[in-house]
Amino acid sequence: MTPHRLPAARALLRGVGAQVGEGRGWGGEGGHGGGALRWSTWDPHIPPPVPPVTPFIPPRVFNVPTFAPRIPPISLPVSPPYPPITSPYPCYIPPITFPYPTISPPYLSPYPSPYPPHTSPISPYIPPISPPYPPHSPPFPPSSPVPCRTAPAGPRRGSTAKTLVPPEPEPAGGGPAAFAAALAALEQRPGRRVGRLELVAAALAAMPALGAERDRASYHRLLRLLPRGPWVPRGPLQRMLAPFPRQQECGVQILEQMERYGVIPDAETRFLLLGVFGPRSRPVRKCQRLLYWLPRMSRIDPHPLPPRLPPPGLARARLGLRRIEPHAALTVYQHPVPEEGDAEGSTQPYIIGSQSEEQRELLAQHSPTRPVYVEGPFPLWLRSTQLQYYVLRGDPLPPNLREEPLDPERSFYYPLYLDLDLERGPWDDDDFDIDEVEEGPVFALCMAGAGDRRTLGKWLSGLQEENPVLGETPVIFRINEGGHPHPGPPLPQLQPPQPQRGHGNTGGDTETPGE
Amino acid sequence: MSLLVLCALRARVGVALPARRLRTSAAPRGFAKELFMGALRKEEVFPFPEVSNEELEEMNQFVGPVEKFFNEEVDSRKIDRDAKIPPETLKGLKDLGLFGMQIPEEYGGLGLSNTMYARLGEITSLDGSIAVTLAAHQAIGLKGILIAGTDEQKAKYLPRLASGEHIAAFCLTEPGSGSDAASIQTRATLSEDGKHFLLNGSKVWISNGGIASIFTVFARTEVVDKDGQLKDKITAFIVERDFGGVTHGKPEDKLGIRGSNTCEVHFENTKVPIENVIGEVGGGFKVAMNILNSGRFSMGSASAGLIKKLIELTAEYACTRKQFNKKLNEFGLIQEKFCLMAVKAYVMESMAYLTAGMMDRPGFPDCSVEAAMVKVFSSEGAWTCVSEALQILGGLGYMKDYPYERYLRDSRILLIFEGTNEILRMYIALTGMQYAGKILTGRIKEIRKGNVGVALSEFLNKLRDTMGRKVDLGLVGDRGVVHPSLQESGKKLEENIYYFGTTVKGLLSRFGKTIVEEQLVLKRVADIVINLYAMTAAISRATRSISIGLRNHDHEVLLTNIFCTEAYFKNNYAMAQLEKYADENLDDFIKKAAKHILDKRAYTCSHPLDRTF
Repeated sequence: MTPHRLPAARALLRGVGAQVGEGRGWGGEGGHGGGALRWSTWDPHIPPPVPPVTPFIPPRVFNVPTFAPRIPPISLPVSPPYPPITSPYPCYIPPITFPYPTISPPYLSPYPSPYPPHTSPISPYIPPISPPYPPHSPPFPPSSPVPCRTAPAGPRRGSTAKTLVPPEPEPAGGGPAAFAAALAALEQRPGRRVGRLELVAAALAAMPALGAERDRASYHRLLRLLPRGPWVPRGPLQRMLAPFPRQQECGVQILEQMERYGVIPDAETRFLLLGVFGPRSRPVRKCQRLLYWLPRMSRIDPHPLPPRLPPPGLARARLGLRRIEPHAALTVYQHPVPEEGDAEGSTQPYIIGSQSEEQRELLAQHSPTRPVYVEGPFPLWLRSTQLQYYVLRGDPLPPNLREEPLDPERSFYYPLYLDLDLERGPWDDDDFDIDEVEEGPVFALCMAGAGDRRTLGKWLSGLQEENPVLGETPVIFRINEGGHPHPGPPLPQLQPPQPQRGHGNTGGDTETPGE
Repeated sequence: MSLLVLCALRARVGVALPARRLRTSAAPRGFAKELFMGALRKEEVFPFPEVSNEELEEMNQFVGPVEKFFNEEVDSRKIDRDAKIPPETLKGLKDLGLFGMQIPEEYGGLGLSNTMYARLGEITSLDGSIAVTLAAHQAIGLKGILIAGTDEQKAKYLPRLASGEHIAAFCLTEPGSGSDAASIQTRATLSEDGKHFLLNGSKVWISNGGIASIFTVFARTEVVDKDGQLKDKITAFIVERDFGGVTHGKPEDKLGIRGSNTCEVHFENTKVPIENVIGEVGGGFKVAMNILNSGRFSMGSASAGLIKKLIELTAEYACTRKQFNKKLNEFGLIQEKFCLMAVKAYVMESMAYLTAGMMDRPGFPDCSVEAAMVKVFSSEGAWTCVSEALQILGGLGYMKDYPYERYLRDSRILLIFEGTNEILRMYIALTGMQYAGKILTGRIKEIRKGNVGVALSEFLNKLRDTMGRKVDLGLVGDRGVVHPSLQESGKKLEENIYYFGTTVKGLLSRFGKTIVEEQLVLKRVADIVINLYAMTAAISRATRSISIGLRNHDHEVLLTNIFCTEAYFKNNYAMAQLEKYADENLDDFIKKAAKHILDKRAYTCSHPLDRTF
């Protein structure tokens, strides 16, 4: 074993220090008579050299005599363990590992949606009212027995108080505070704590009535009712055998209800679930999926509604009209009497209309010889609430009146059309061949507290002030007077019980035109 | 009644009112229009137009005193601060005859040719407010009388306008009407006796509106058209302030050109005698277009004058200021800016004087496209250069104690008035497309019908283009007109022109007359053709300079070669974008993004700090 047997580059790299240890690291190399330089591919008699299969031994560095040139040793990669890779963005969504969860996106949920099917432009997800991540979560478990004793009905929890959403009136049932108080009363009853599952089921069912269905803290309180430890499977074998099925189903039900109301779980939810059901249990996995999907879905709506709809009546009608025509001017033609309260508009219905500048121009161009129509009511869904609107429209224009020929003396600066007998090339005609339904122009929109002819007549007389042509034009009413618009398919059965708003309405906040 | 009178009036005028087609038929062959066919009419642009020695001497006689006046008597800072040109300055301008530069001598004006007018514009542009006041007076204000006025009108008004005793204003813009004639609301109704029009309406943003005594006003009048129906048509009037009923609002507070007077003008039952109709009743549209089209070319020389002045000022600064023991002029990034300014100034000067020379030729050459190109190129060049000059000066340029920020504010208006650059680009591209379309329609239709012979020859032509065709339009070579030291630039120009012609043909066969809707395409077409004209002008001028041995002609060659090379690659890129399915062409995406924004009327992206959980 002499140094010249080493590959030249290797020797150079390893330097003087390497020469000392060379005997161990490359000892088996010389057995193939001649080494790498003499072997050629076309000579079948000489077997190719077998590369040395030796364990990697890190080079040792010796003290080198001062006269020898000091070549720094190369630093080879250290063996694992490597430092754990940490993301610069702390994110509490744990990575989803194999087996990849079969995620059923919320929009494919097998559970019936509480929203009517006609809310197509509206996302089924109602953004949460509180900021998604409470700035400070209470320690788990809180001081026994009830966490809510210290959270009286005063100001809401810190998370809610910090939102920019204006404080809403406390829901009819008393809200999360009432829910917490009810749970606290339960906890104080003496005796063994049995029947937790039934308790949770009952509490879940009661939440919407209490107005606590969108409050994440209330769900956390429910989770705190469940025992920590006894439902955690012991060992991998038990975990494999679908342990505690009813208990886990109970946890899943809590999460289902959160999903239904668009309450996004947070780290605390997951932490609580881990304590109750253990890692990789069904509720924890469900929670992970919710954490993945809900934040995305809650922002998916390009036309978001405010977290809580304004009260029915003029304010909601305003929102509805804005939604149909975002940039048109709204005019209140008649204020409701009484102005506010439960019986708003019962004596004198409100009338609000919208008309944009373009619509006004269209109406001004309308020939008074042809009639205009008031049509309606048409439904407009805002979440689970139905509004009704009326339109003022005309007949489709006859084609000869539609586009006035362009005046050649129109533009001072550049020609508006070319005087060529040359159409667009057939390969560059990108327009689809669509059969379009011809519709007449819509001149104005209106929502009113009542749908009778008299009320709508007031709207028209209000419109006439800004559209004098309406005074000479015959108006034909094509309204289903006092009737409802087509309701669409029946509402799903699993409708959360609506709190009684005292409006005298049943079946949600549908504004029925008063007679 | 008024109908009868109008009929009588028409009989008196003796002309059947022609339906005006927008330069659609029998357009005279212009240089720029030929570019759209891929042809170069070199006899139009070579040799570069010259003035005779006598004219040059005469011009120098004017230039000297004007330059002296502007350097010594005009306090631009004060004008800008007080938003008013002092009367003594105005008087000085009048004494110099600057209010009648283009009015013929028999009417008391200076009777300058377009070239000489452009030369004086170089100096008057040193103060933006004065330049705009003068331009509003004579480039548009009294141009109507000069172009289309009768001899009586000329004799009556021009002498006093030339002396500056009366100042003119051009009243076209209305609150609801920029370039759309249909929305002009000012109305002129014929009085019962048929001798007067009663003028009613308001005009906004009228330059010189507060100081003018003679207004060129455009108003709607009822005219009987060919079919015997009453129709509203635009008519141009000369309105004196003394006619009564003319009031003006207070001067507008503006970003730049603050010294110029801009205000609203209201007409209330102003009695205008029918002798004061410019052109024919109902022929105001043509008058307005001709006035607007003829007034633009001088902006090139004016911008060039401004930039030349700026180069002097900033070069002085860059050669004295030291940073890191080095003078500013040793930094490459600063040198680049100076080169850019010089190139732009050189090219816009060349374009302006080439166009002025074309317009001075006998006959009535139609140079409106060329003038529009000069305006677009020079206004944008001026804005870029002033901005770069400010960059050289750093914080100094931003201070009100120095004139630079005023130059910046003043030059911003150049891109807006006399037709915004966007509108002029449409004009340039569409006029050329119309011209080329007339000629190419037959051929394109043959191909579409499936004429194998024509299609095959087109295909072979294309094939030869892709193989790299040697383009020879006669600029360079043995019988060429370009000096050999500019040979490379000449070849580039030839190649660009040839392939531009192919591009135009392709666009026409793709879009047909619907190309009017393709504004992004037209913008590129206009950019290319502006570059082509600029290259031509620079090469032509540099060739002349070498040939007659002007001082520093090697520098001119350098600038020309720099410009032509840059423009060549820009043109190639734009033409690549104009090809079908070009990857470089993002028009569809741009339109989509813009549509989203405009639907929402807001920028809708979430804030980068937003989170969803």
